[in-house]
Amino acid sequence: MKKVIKCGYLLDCTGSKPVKDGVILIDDDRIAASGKPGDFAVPGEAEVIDLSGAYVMPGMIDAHLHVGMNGLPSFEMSLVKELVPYHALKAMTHAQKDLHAGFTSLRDVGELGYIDIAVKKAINTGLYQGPRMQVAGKVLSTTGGHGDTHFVPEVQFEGLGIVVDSPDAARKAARENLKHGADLVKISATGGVMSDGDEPGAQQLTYEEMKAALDEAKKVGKGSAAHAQGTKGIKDAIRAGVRSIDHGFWLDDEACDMMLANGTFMVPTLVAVYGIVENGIAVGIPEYAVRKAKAAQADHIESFRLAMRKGVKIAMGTDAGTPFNYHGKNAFELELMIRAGMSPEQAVLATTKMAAELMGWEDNVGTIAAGKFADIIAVAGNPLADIKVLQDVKFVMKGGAVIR
Amino acid sequence: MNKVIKGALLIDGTGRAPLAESVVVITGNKITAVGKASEVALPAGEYELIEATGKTLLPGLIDCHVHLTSDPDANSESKSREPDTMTALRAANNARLTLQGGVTTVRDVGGKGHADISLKKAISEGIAAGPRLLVSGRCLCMTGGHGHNSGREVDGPDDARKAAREQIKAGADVIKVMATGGVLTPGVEPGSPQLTVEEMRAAVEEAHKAGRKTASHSQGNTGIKNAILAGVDSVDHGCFLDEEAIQMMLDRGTFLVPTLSAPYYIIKHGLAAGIPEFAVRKTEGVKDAHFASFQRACQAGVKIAMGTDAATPFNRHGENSFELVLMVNAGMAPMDAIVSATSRAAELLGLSGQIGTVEVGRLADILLLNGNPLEDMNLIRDIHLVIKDGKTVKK
Repeated sequence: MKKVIKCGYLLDCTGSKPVKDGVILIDDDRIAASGKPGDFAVPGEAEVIDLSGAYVMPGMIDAHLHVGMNGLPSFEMSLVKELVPYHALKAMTHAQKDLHAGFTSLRDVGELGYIDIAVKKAINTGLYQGPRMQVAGKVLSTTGGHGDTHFVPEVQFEGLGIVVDSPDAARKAARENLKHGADLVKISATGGVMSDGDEPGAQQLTYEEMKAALDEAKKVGKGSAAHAQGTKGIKDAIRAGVRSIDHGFWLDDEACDMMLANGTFMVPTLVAVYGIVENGIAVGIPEYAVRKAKAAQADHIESFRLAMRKGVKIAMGTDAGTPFNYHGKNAFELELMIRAGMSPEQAVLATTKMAAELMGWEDNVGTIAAGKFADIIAVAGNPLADIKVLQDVKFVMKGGAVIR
Repeated sequence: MNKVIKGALLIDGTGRAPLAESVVVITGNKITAVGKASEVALPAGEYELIEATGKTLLPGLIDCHVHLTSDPDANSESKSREPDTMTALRAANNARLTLQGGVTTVRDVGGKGHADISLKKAISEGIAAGPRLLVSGRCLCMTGGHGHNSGREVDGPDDARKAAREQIKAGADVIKVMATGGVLTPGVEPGSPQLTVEEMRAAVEEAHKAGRKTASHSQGNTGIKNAILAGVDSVDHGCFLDEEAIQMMLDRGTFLVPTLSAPYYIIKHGLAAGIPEFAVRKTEGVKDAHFASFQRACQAGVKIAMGTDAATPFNRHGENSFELVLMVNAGMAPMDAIVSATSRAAELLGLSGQIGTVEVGRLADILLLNGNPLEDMNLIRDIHLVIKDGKTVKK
């Protein structure tokens, strides 16, 4: 089944400038050709999709989120009060919200009960419409760490995490996740904002624990991500071979140099901190989370600026659905990145080409180019002139099928 | 916005003669006016007009015996090892199909894990689309008995009591007990009795104490009678009814939920479609008795509530209303078949007065058909639109 999209402007996200009156030829679920009018022949039988009033670009990618949550001020009670299959049903609706907002690929970095794996399978087998997903399964965390829950001592409930306190345990946990279908291994290198009783600056997993887990991912050619705020934890995670430093509140020069040497990405998730600081305790966000977010926010933005100055590869991620950080509102992160000093060109690349590279999916998504999946969105104006247009996506196509 | 459905032939589910050129008014999620077009005052202000001249309006149908957590695969066991998260996602899809097929309420009589209870919560919160759902949690069966792969095995009345309490604690609306063996479990015979009278009675007591009703898988004659004596609200399948069993049901007001669809599709598709040999063989041995039992029960005036046993092999979610065609082909009067899937089903579920009829004050669950099922029951499948809780169901 052939389709041809007539674009107002075609922004292919390879780094090239937008092409006026660009044309995309689609065959089944892939892009057959793209470029200026006249670059290639358009078959007569192709169905015409007229987007000549719009800027057309690749479907966006969110490289750090949790489909199991959607913005509640506090999440721990729902882990124990609501059944896991119910969480899976909710998660499917959240993933669909992301798709409808123009995010055709997601990297999910930690869920309860392997709901991410079920959601991904249900989408990939065609049972539900949804985005392409790369999933992490459960987060590897120390006892009392960022991925552990913090109930009274009599209640041991791991929630989103698998608790590991040795390199062997970390290795086993990574293998466990991979066995159940995870595409990447997620580790908690440091404390965090949303975890009760720890400090973001403090390292949690040791270098040896992280290395054991990451080696298992590498053995099977899979990716990894580190929740990493404090500098020491960041550096050990990089040394241990992690693919991305996520959040990264306290990068320094040395950490950035290490990331450049190792090809490590940064996924800033500015909107996660923003959502907590802006909304505060009055709406039910735990006091410890608001306190820690406020204390880190300015440094976080400086860290992001440092990474940009040093040329560290940056991919967009939101950490949806931390408090007030909703699925479907993902593109607001790009506005925050630009407020912090990123150029519009870089921001658009961060949510397309760079995110695809981080995920190892650059052959299939992230730009408009022959051979890639026809994951295509359209917006009313030029995102390079006004990044806000990406918060109001008008057209979404995934794999050649029009979603809306 | 109010809805006004104008001009349909109204079959209100009570068994009353149909009313031509009716008007039904829906306000919010309730039916607020029903009657002849000439006699019903239309709402002041805005309303959505649904032109229904030439169409037939019924209450949304009720299926008293489904398994939303099962897919209608040739081999019913093929997904039994899936995680419950995947089962819930499949069940939500099955629920959506069921609602689109005109069934606005179902009684799910045996789920896997907690997928059914999770689904019920998701539907009631609008997270998933589907019918009103009464769930059983896990069915109660004897060790090794029919349903033991997903059920809660119980041995002895005390254990049965505890098991019923567990399901209710987990959120079950109905307690399901396995009185006999079945067709789809290898190694057990449909004729053989399984849970004892005392075991079932303990479970039924707990259910009734908590205001819940009960269902029983009852195929063989001895097990059927055990279930009736234990006080179950419905004998489901009822393959080997005799005069004594029928009299016992009449004396106690026990319902029959026939599920003619289950043997129908197994025989129709057979071994060639990949249905396991033991299932086909056992069905062949049971089907004649099953249909004959239904006919006898019908003639004797046993209260019959519609149920399909979706999703036994090829017994698809969304095709539930075909059960009415089978019931009519087996000799039931068309109006009786409709009543069995509306007001009488509501009675079995303990929801009379809320659903099951098109009357003022009931919830607005409506099925609008293009033709008249009283003339040809196959027309029950020719749907114009479905309304659940006052909202039109999207295709």
